[in-house]
Amino acid sequence: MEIIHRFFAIENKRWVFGSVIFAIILLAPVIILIINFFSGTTDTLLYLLDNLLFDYTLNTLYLILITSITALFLGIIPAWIISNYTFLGRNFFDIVLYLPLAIPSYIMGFTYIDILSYTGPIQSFFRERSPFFAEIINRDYLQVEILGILLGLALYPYIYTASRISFSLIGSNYINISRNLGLSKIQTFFKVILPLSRPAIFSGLFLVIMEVLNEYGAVKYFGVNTFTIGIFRSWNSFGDVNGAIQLACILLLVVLCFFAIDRFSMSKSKFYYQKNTQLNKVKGLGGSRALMVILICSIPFLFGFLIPFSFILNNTIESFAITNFDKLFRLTNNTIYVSSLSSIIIIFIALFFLFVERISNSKINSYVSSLISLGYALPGAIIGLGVILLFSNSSLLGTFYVLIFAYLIRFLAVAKSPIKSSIDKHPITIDDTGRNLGLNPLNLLRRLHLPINKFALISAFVVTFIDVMKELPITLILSPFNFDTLATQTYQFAIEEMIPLSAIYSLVIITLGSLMLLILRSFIDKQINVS
Amino acid sequence: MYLEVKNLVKFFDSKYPIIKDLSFSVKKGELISFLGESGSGKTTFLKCISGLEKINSGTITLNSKYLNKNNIFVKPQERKIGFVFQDYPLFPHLNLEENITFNLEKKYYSKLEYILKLTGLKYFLKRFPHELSGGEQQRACIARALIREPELLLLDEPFSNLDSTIKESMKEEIFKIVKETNTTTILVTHDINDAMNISDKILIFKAGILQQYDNPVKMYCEPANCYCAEILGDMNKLFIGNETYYVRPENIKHVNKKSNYKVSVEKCFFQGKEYRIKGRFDNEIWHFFSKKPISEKKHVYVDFAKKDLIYFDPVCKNFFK
Amino acid sequence: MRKFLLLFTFIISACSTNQESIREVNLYSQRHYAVDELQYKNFTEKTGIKVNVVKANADQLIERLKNEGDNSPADLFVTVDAGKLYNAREAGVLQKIESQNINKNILTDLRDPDEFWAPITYRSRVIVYSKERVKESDLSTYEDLADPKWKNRILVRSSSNAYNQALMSSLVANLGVENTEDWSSAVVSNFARDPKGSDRDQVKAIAAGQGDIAIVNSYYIGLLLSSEKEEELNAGNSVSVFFPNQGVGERGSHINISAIGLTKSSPNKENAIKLIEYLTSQEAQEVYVNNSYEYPANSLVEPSDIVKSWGDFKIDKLNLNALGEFRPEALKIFDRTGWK
Repeated sequence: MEIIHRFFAIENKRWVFGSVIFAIILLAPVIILIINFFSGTTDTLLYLLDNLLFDYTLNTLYLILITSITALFLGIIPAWIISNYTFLGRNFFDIVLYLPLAIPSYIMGFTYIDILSYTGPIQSFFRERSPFFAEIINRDYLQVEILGILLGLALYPYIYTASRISFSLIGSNYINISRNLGLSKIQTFFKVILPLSRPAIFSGLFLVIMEVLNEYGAVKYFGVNTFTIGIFRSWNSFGDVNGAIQLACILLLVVLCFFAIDRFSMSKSKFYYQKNTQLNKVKGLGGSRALMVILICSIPFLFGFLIPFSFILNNTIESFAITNFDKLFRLTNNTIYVSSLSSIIIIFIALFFLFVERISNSKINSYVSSLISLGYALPGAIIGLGVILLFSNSSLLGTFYVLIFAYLIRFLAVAKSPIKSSIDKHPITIDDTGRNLGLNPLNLLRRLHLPINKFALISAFVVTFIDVMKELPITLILSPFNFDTLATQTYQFAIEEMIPLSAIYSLVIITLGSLMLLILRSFIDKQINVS
Repeated sequence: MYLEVKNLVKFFDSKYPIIKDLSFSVKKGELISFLGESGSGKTTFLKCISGLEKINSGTITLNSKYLNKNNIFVKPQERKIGFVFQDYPLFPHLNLEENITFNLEKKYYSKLEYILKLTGLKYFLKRFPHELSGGEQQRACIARALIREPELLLLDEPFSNLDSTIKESMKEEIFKIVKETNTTTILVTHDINDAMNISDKILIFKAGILQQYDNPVKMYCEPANCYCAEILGDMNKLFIGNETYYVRPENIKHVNKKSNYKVSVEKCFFQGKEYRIKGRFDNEIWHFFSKKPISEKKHVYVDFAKKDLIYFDPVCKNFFK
Repeated sequence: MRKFLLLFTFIISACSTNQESIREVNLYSQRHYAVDELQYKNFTEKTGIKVNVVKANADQLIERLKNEGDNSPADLFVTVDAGKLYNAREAGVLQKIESQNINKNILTDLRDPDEFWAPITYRSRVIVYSKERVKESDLSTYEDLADPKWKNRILVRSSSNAYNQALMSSLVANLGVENTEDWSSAVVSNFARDPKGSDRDQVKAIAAGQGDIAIVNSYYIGLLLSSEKEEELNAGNSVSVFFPNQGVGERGSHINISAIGLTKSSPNKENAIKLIEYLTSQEAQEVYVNNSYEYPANSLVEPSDIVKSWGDFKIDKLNLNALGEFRPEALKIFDRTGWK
């Protein structure tokens, strides 16, 4: 009787159960991996545990530490400056500071090592002019610290974006109160602004850490043995797929714990500051301080984008004559096609889950909504493996459906976050009013949530598009016949040590990504200005 | 009866029911105020009536149709109930006209002009919500609810977000609109003044139970218990024998001759038309009104008619604490 | 909404283009060089058979083959490491090729005795040394790299790299586990720096003076020596190539092959064998040597000029399946001896 009552009490049953079934389908590859975790031998796992995993874990943590510190510095400081001061070039920096996101991290790594290497432009230049100085800079740059900094350069925009929005939304009231209570500007920043922005910064940092955990190409090149290297050592070298699955599940568990701790600590300090105050008034800066500020903002842009971009552009020009433009055109087409199609599907499915979570009064949906983000915590190749195991013996493997299905699992979390923050901003009475005015759930979604979350959907589309465009392992494992993308081609040239030939493909990736980011930026602006 | 609520029970956690047992009915065209403290479950009640929340047991009947009974549940979008929320949620992506005509059946379009005139929104049609003032937003929400001729109109704290100057005119306005359209209305509020001025009946809700449901005058004069009495205005407490009695300040008269009630004046408040006197009798704080000021620390005599004495059960006071 | 749905179904249906052209052959390939595309194009022009390719990492392709089972559309599995073909065969996804034409085309030493795969090209893992700081006479064998005279002088990439794993497997096959392990720890203690970077980076590090000798693939030296960039050319020219274990009675230099296996479930077996026959033919092998720096598997074809300039060498005649068979042992030796 109690159960029947509970069942009756669930609102919008069809939607709730639909979302649960859909979530199970999405989680099926992960579930299969977990089943495999418990079956099969543990020889390789134990071997790795004994011999390497401790080292690998330490390396991973060290790399995460360096990358995080770099990304935090490069992200937060310019975000603070740009949110609070006007100076020459402010608008310019506000646009270009997002751009490194368009550069895949392995391209960042390969490119910088080429630039810094003995035969690269810098060392060559000094060898001719100042042999003494050339000797000083003739070093081995393939170091874990350098890798951390390079990854920081490639990933800081995640933190920049998050803190930029947060800093702009924290109204001047908090700052004024804090100043009035006797805190200096710097104290205000550390004691008021940073704690208030912690959820935003943390969500950015979470993305950075996930990216580092998933990084394979660059860490392998730098000879830094991270946990992911361990997963692939089990698979590619020992040929033990189960060992790889087991390691990936352990990684998943660690990420989940980390996530749970974060959620738990966050739940105690939920901040709602959107509605509190008007926007911060931007103050002008002049003279030498302006110069310093410009310098600070230039660093991430210069090293994160302009230098690698120029180098790649130069390589492109040099190898222009031998470029196969038919192929370039075909790959660009493929890339745009698969990225936009899967991004559209991904954002609508993300919206669906978030919408059901909102209209449902059942706790199930908040679990469902968190669980479907699991895919983001698994390396792409492992998701590919899960999908292969799921579609074992079916003729679906090697079709676009499966490829897009795998992207969906991997990137749902990416699309979810901007949509979620937008949906959460609207009071629940908006939905109540809609229903009161006669909308059924489908119409509520179509006529209300689709238009009022339009900007968020576009933002989600852009970030998902860029991620799919840069995606490598899933595309490689599950690709249909004769299907190359810009990313796979770039990677194939890069690992075969033909960097100049890969240049034009990288260039197109970066240019496409930059264009998309410019669109995104104009929408973020609108969001900030509207709210 | 037009709206009939019977034995309504609502809880999210069965240990702490929000509505323990609620039964009342409303006649067609009546405006009733649902009065309760903040957090007492007033909004939940409205959501139950409108179907946005499911009820745990009981029946709701509107215009001789069951909305809730056993496993009958009419979906919110199929109830003809207008709901104006506390924070006036107009859809931010639509202008005023699009908001009012949102999801509107064809047959009601002809009413647009009438509704706009009624709510005085004629000149704002193309404006977006963020370009409207609080009062305009609220009238827009009311217009949006009324244009589809609801069988019942629910207003959730319609005055709480308005400043006091427009609040008064809004009250009149809502009263006028509701009466002109003969719309049966439940107005939820925590402020007794809002309720007294315009309602046909007041329902006092406390601790999950209906305390009293009556017209304002009767309620004021004959409160069902001390809670209802206090909520409607100040009460002066006195002991006669072992029993506790109450008397309303306006029923107390300042007399020049000696009487049984000698009050020492503590404070005299000027209120324009008269003075409100705060004093002490028998260690209890008393309030009454006087045409002339009385200086502090002075002792004065007051008196009242026996029929104005109000008596409650002595446990009443403790019960609500 | 309806428009959107229409668009959606349109896109989805556009995805599933029918794959019913009859004359085709499907490849799962670890190779992804420009020369391959050229070869397939030539083959199609010649025979009218369309060549479809999926390019990915060999182990992931094996996993895909395993799970697709009988439904697999793949006919051929192309790798750049004999070890992976051994793994594929062990996983039961290959079948015997059995074509006399192919056997006639290719060098006997490179052949799989069981005929599960056919080689197309090969490359040697050689030692390069600084022309300035190392005398050729100091170099002799792989085993000699354990000598303390190389302390802080040896450069090599990490043990995650399949070519290093293949080299170590060949040593295990030739010398046994214990000897190889001793050798490995001695070599590790001679490292000039932690293993990292690409083969090309090892050569650059010699040019930069960070080490004196490096273990690299002959293929990458060819690439470096044909670079458009003057500085890279200089780096390439600052080193010489040395083929180890060439002395009388010694086994020869370690080689690894690019090779093709025929999948068990191959739906277009006839076309598949035609393609292997074509790729091992004199005509196609000329294309390989003219467009890459690999050695041809066909005895009638000579390698490119740059490759030829390093001179002839004796190859290690070890059965190449050993490169897969001894791989797990090799890996454990890497890990035990601290070769990162």
